[in-house]
Amino acid sequence: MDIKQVAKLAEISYSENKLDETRVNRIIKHLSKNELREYLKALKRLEKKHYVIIEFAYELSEQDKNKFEKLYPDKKIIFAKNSELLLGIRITEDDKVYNLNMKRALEQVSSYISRSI
Amino acid sequence: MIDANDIIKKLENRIHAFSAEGNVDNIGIVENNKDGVISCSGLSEVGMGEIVSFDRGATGVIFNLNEDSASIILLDRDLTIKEGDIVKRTGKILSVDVSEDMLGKVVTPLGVPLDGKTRILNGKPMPFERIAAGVIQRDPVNTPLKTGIKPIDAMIPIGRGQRELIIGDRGLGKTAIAIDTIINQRNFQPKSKTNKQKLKPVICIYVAIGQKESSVAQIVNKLEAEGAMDYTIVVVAGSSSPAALQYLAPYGGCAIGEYFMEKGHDVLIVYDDLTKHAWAYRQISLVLRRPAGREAYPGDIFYLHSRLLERAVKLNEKNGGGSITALPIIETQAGDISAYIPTNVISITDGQIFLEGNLFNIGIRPAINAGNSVSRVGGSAQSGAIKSVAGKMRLDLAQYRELAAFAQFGSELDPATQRQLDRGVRLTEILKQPQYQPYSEAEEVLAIWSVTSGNLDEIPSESASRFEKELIVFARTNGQKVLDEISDGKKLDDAKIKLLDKLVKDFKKRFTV
Repeated sequence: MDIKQVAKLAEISYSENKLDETRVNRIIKHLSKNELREYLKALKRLEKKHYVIIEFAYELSEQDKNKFEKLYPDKKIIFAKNSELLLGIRITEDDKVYNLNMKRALEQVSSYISRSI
Repeated sequence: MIDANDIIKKLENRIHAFSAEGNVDNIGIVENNKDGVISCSGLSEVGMGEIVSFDRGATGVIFNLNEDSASIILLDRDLTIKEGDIVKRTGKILSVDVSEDMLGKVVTPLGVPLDGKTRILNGKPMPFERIAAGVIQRDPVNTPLKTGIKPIDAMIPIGRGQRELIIGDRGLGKTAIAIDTIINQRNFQPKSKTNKQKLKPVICIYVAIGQKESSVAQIVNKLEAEGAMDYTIVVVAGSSSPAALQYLAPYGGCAIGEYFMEKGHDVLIVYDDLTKHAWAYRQISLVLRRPAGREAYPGDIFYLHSRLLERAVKLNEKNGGGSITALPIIETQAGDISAYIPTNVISITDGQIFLEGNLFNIGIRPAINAGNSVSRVGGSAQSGAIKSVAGKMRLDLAQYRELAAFAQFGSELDPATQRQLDRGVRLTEILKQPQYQPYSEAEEVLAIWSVTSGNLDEIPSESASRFEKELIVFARTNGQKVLDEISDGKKLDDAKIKLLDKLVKDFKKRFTV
């Protein structure tokens, strides 16, 4: 079985955007060690597409959280506090990271100044 | 002393000018790290050849784009990158910041000075990969690049904008030819008084790929001692550098050269050597599991060198009039020039200088096999003076080689044949040249003319080499006017030949066998 076929198996392990344990158990019985390794990698990649991590410096209100849930209706949202951000939020959606926080702004200032000197 | 208030004011001005915006990063997660090649998932928007950065500051270049992953070659040796680390796009393609400050420095392929002290300020970013100039932008190669090495300037002349391969086994003097050529360019720098033909100064770039760092240090010391470092940049990716840096080094050197070429300068780039460059590329390709072809090289090994060497060009006046001359070096095994990489590069370049072990061992140094060496630019890149003496010399040498086999049998030869053999032996002797002693064009003309005119026929062949060396010393002290007369580069007329004849005859009276 090649990598593409294993990736296809990983896709059909999902039902209604959630990982189906029964299907997974049925599939893994038929996979060799290497195929299982590829299957797990594919599952991890797909899993990332199904959730969004929202990090915030200060606790978000329920209203704000509801807004995010409306913004990503098909995805599971994980809210996490991260005081390193100083102010603002960071949204990680699969391989995209939206930085709207003070930490990133200060990093940009620092690199801007070091390039200019 | 810089005032602290000034610094604070500058910082405040810069911060006011800064505008912070939210931004979107495209990230990836490291999946594995194998031999300097990193495979990562994510990075869905990254482009080929784009620079990416890791959490701890290391950088890499995208080298493979697969459906679900990307392969990155590391530009720094970072042993701390592990599975799960974040890698970010930078949105920039690989480039090197170049400015005039780089002259006289030893740098990495990324332009970082290796002396650790000075930084290149306000450099222009020059991309590593670039499409070569088209046909319309080019001019024919017609300006000589003088190496100062007699057999090359006489029989295998190199022009500015040409690609001339230096090929031979290890230890035969390939690098020596390149270094002597670089040293000889001091005669064409603005401060030089010997540039009678008013040739443009040449900026030299020596790219060391996979060389021992001790060897590179020796070369740098020699260039400094000869006053050549003022117009030279040394780009180093030593044998302990990551394969990625060794692969990128020639492109970095070429990018630096293109900066100066675009400003109208003539540039000489030495790639020492492209065999190790091919090995580094093979290593990276095998780790990336690209399909292996002949001798385990990847399928695009020809393109690796062709796209590099095509960037050596002579631009027309409309495009600045600058040029890049490339001297790639290839190391053969047991003199086999029909191997894969040598044949590839021979077919790309505009000629080759073939160094032979047999010649080296019998004391002919530089060990140039004039029969197998060629310059496809030829006489277009020679001045009138050297052309008028060298044409006959090449013929004499070719006839000598044909007849030399008979001399071994010791059979009786007719006087004409014997004369030809004797002339050939003397020619071979005067074409020998010590390392780090490049000749001016006038001295080359004098040395070659003294043989082809028959002035050396009475001198025993074993004294011919000494005769030539002492003649040059004599000319520098007592015959400078004659040298000045013939250094205008024009064809030798009767008046000049008379001057040469008188000089040689005057010296012959003083010479003791």
